[in-house]
Amino acid sequence: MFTDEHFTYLADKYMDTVFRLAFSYLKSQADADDITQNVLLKLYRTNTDFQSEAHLKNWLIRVTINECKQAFRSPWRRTEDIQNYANTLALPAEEHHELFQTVMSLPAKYRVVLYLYYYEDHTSDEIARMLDLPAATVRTRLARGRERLKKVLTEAYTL
Amino acid sequence: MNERQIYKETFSRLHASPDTLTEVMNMAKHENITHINTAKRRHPARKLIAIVAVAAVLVTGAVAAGTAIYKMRSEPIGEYGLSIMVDFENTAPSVEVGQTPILDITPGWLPEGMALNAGETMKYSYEETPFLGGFSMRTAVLNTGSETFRETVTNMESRESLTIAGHEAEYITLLTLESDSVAFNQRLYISYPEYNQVLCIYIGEDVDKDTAVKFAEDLVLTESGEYLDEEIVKYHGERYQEAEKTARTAEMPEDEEADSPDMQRQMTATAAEMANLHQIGESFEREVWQEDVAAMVPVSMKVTKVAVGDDGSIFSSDGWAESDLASRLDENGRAPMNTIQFVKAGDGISVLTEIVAEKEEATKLVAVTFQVTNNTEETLEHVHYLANYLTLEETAEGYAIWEPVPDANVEYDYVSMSRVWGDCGMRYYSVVDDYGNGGNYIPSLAPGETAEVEVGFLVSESELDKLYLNLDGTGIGSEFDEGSMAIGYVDIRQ
Repeated sequence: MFTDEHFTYLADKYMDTVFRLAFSYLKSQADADDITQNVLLKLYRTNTDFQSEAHLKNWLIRVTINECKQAFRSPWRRTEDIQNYANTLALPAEEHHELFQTVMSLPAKYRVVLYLYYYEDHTSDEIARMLDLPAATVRTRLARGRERLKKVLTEAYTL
Repeated sequence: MNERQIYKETFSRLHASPDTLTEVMNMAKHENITHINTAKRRHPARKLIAIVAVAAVLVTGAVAAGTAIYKMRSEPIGEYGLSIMVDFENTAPSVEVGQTPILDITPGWLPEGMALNAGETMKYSYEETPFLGGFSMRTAVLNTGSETFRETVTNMESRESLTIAGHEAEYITLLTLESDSVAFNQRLYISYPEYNQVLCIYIGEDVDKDTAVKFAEDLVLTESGEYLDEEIVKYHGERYQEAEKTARTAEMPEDEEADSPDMQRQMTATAAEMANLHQIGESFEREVWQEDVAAMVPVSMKVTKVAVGDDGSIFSSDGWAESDLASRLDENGRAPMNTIQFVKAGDGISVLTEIVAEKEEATKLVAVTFQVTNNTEETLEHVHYLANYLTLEETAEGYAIWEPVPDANVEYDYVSMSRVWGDCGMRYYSVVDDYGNGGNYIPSLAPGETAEVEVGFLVSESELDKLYLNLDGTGIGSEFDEGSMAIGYVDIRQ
């Protein structure tokens, strides 16, 4: 268990990580907010003895994925207009807007691995362990998702 | 700006609702969760608990845990199914889910000639049949706090309640398809309420019941000092069965899009889609995965040689003899006969899976040599490669995935081959890097440098004139893939 002060620090540091992952999975700001609250409450309640912040972050990602899977099957899952949400983000350029739309148009299994790889800087092996998937499956999803993004990012893509 | 930067710039704009933390703290206080200001740490001591010490306590077949009594039982489902469960009598058991220990499980006795499989922790096989048969173990949580253990077994032949070292157990025999492999045709479920877990032992058909019972009775269970994560425990039972279901369907149906037309397997391709088909000796461009630089980088590839034969003499070096490929050869080191089975799938509850047709066919070893050339001006490190084959037949419109067909006109759901791997993957590869999962990486390629790789497959004879090689690194061999076709398969038909 954490002190309130320590919990506040951790929640502040990781709540956007949880939110972005949940949003990548569920494509709903409202559902992602609910998931974020649930996950942080679990963090507040947990007795898990975290060995490091990396351990804690991995725990948060796994719990978030589990919560999202439960929510995905719920009949009360909300669907939202991605375009409306994108308009609230104040994305700086058209290519950011196109990337966002393209990523959100992919199946969830691509969106999640792309987020963990491109945003959270995890390797394909680390993602495989987090998601309990074979590494080859993760690489396939990354490669396929990336191929679809490349078509959008042709002008901006560099090595 | 590269794609990672654009991705980060885009998604950094997404934020949780600003009142998230306030809401969480309000909910926590409403639940009266109090945190003391001194961090508590557990200092678990390693405990060795021999099962034989427990045996003296138990005579009724029920085990006490606190004020609750757990009872293992089973109920038939349909003609061939069985539900195994652990219920409680009297008071609902209180369980500290976060105190479920991670167990080290080691055998106190092993049958002669059986050993732990290399790289495994709970799988034991006879040395002459590594990774096959023998014993394979896993644990499942007995009480997750919201539900107790329950598992469905299909294709059941018989069941029997036993007591193993004082613990309730269910011994089950299964109906399995005849094959050249060593199937797991028995299971033991043993209840350990003191650890809040059920141990499941898969038993190979190369082990008889008495041997299996002795193995189980002499197991030594030790608390490792670590505990199953509380949140993970809550999903333990359903996660495992979900994973089993996923493995059985050979897909990863994680979301509703899995059933959409976009996610269906592509079993045919038009001539236009296959326009990038390459020949042996033809160079072609593709990009390879570079984990360290987080990018795909351009290389060129070329298949230079294909050899077919009955033994390892077709390979240019002896490395193949230590590979998976060698383990599939017969006792004379030659490509064995392949049994092709046409199987009608049953649900294992009301209808059994059965072989409706079968035929024998010779297999052949295939050695493929290809080159990878670095076309960049930078040295590439840990260049990933992966080769697999597809079996295709030409059609009026283009191509189709080919599978063997039975000689008789029978209805079947899938084809099973005893000797040929279903994933059509390379089982020998000559260049190995101490990197990644499997080591199939070229350690280093200087600008302009070419590396040569030799890979090996075992194929059924009727597949030889239908072989096409996929070098795009995805390992996709059971369907056409848009990305693979864009790079182009290589015609290696023999």
